[in-house]
Amino acid sequence: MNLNTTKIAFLNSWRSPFRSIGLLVLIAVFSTVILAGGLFSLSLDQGLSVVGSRLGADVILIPSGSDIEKNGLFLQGDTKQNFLPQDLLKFVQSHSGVDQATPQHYFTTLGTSCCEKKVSVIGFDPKSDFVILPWIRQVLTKGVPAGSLVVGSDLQIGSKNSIRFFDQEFPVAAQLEPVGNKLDQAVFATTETVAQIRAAAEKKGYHFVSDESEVSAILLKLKKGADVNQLSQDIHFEFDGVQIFERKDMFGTIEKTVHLFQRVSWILAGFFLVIAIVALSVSFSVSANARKKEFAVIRVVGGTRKKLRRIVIAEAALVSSVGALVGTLFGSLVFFPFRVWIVDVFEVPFLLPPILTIVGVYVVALIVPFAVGPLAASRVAFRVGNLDAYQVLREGER
Amino acid sequence: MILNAKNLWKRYSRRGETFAAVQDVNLEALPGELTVIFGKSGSGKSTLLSILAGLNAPDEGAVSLNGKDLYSLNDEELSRVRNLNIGYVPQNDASLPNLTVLENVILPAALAGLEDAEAVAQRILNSLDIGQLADEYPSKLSGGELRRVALARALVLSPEVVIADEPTSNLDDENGELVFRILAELSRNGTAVIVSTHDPRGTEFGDRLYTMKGGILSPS
Ligand SMILES: Nc1ncnc2c1ncn2[C@@H]1O[C@H](COP(=O)(O)OP(=O)(O)O)[C@@H](O)[C@H]1O
Ligand SMILES: [Mg+2]
Repeated sequence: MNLNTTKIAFLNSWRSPFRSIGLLVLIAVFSTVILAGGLFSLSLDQGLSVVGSRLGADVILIPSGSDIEKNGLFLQGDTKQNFLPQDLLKFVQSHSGVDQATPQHYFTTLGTSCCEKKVSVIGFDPKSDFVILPWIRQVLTKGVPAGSLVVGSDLQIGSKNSIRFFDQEFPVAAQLEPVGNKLDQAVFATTETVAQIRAAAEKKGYHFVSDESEVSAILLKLKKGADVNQLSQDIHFEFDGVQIFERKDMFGTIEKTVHLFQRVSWILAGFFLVIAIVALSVSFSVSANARKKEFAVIRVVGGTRKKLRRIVIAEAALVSSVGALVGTLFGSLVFFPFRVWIVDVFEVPFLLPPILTIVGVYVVALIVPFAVGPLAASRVAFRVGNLDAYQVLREGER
Repeated sequence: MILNAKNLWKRYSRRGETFAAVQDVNLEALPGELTVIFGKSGSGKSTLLSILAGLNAPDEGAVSLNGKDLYSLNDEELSRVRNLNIGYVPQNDASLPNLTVLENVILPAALAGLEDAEAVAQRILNSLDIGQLADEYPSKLSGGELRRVALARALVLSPEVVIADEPTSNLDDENGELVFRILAELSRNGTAVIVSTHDPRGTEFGDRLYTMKGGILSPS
């Protein structure tokens, strides 16, 4: 039999399961927090940056009192609303601070009335559009033929490659990459196609109070150095019932939520790091104290001080490596199934970061908790190495 | 000459008063001799044996093994001597609770990097009449059995010097006799054996007899 340091450490841990399991659970929780917290944080970052870059507009004009106001369409995707004044588009297109302006028209099909599911339709004007087409072009080179749709990543398009609105099939020209919010469940259509969908609906007996020429929102790209306040004043002077959102306003609340969540994750991880180190140090210290005689025996039969230290460190490393493995495994089980649910409940943009980043999080979630054990044991190891074997064995004599 | 102690002093202090637990002790342990040290409890026997075993540095004097001064060695070297050259049985039993009796006995061999010490270990356990306990954990053993496990552990690497602190305490008559026989046989085969004891059988088996009193060692 080969009874080396590792084997002795292993036997000590294996045959004192309660001591080991307590320490192991602590390390595992720490590892879970790092993994799940890290992945959540980074997914929020990723979601936010994708949504931000796809929005593309500096300013959005929407009617007062619409739902969009609350969360911003591009984050929320829900579209119950009023419409903008008729002449507003012309006004802003000719405004000196505006570089590009494009109208959009939103409507939501009601639950079962037309399709299997409630669907948000976003109509855009292909002539002036600078927001949706560039993004679509990433996936589609041949353009969007009239009468066809571009759909979000979450929509089921089935084998026919089409979506049914009011008993009429509309071919799907492209499906987008995920953005991480409700836009993933939206349908994008040119003004022409929107008109066709409406026609189909009216054939089935549905009537709309508005028509597709109504404008739900106008997206603006400003000229360099243009003054948003001036633009805002000019619009308010001419029109009533217009809300003006800057890009930073739209992301303000959501960004705050995301950053709060991230801060909480970091604080939690830091908190667990401290707890883990303190609790491990204490429990290693208590257990080493209770086992002083064992170490004295090893010393009597020829163990060097270094050997004793190694045994202590090896036991800590063993427990923390298993703990880190268990923790990351558990963290994965918590994170991956629940991330879908997170998107729905918190209504925050949420997208997995690139695979290399994910691997990085795994590495950290394994390495840091793994290192914590030996780190916490190092002081105890030093003390054990210095123990006076003869005095320890004398204690409790007679 | 193998183990040589010269002018050993060890002082302790108790309630502010310093006293010598070992006073100017000179001792030579030769191969083939069983040295027995008698003495009342508190006379300094354990302190002396721990110094001889390389576990407790004296305040003055020196211990040499084959001419090497033990306490001028570094930790690595001294540990090696304790591992290979000296078998020490402490007065109080202690063992590794998570190792079986057999694993405890081969521990010195494991530290020396020797594999396959099981056969030797088992043979020693058999000779001490605890062979059947090899696979038990120490917590299952009686005091007398643990005493013999500690002795077996000290013998497993056949050291040149065996130092046993009251090896027959806790043992019944029969096993006390057995332990003395084994120690005597070891010494006949060339080991230097040093034993402290209250056991009158020491007189019967010992080649050299000493008495310790108030830290002073004298021939008896
Ligand atoms: N670390 C210590 N501190 C103070 N006194 C000690 C210490 N170790 C031993 N002694 C004292 O030294 C004396 C000798 O002890 P010991 O060598 O154990 O005697 P014996 O083994 O003959 O019973 C005793 O009085 C004991 O109390
Ligand atoms: Mg004693």
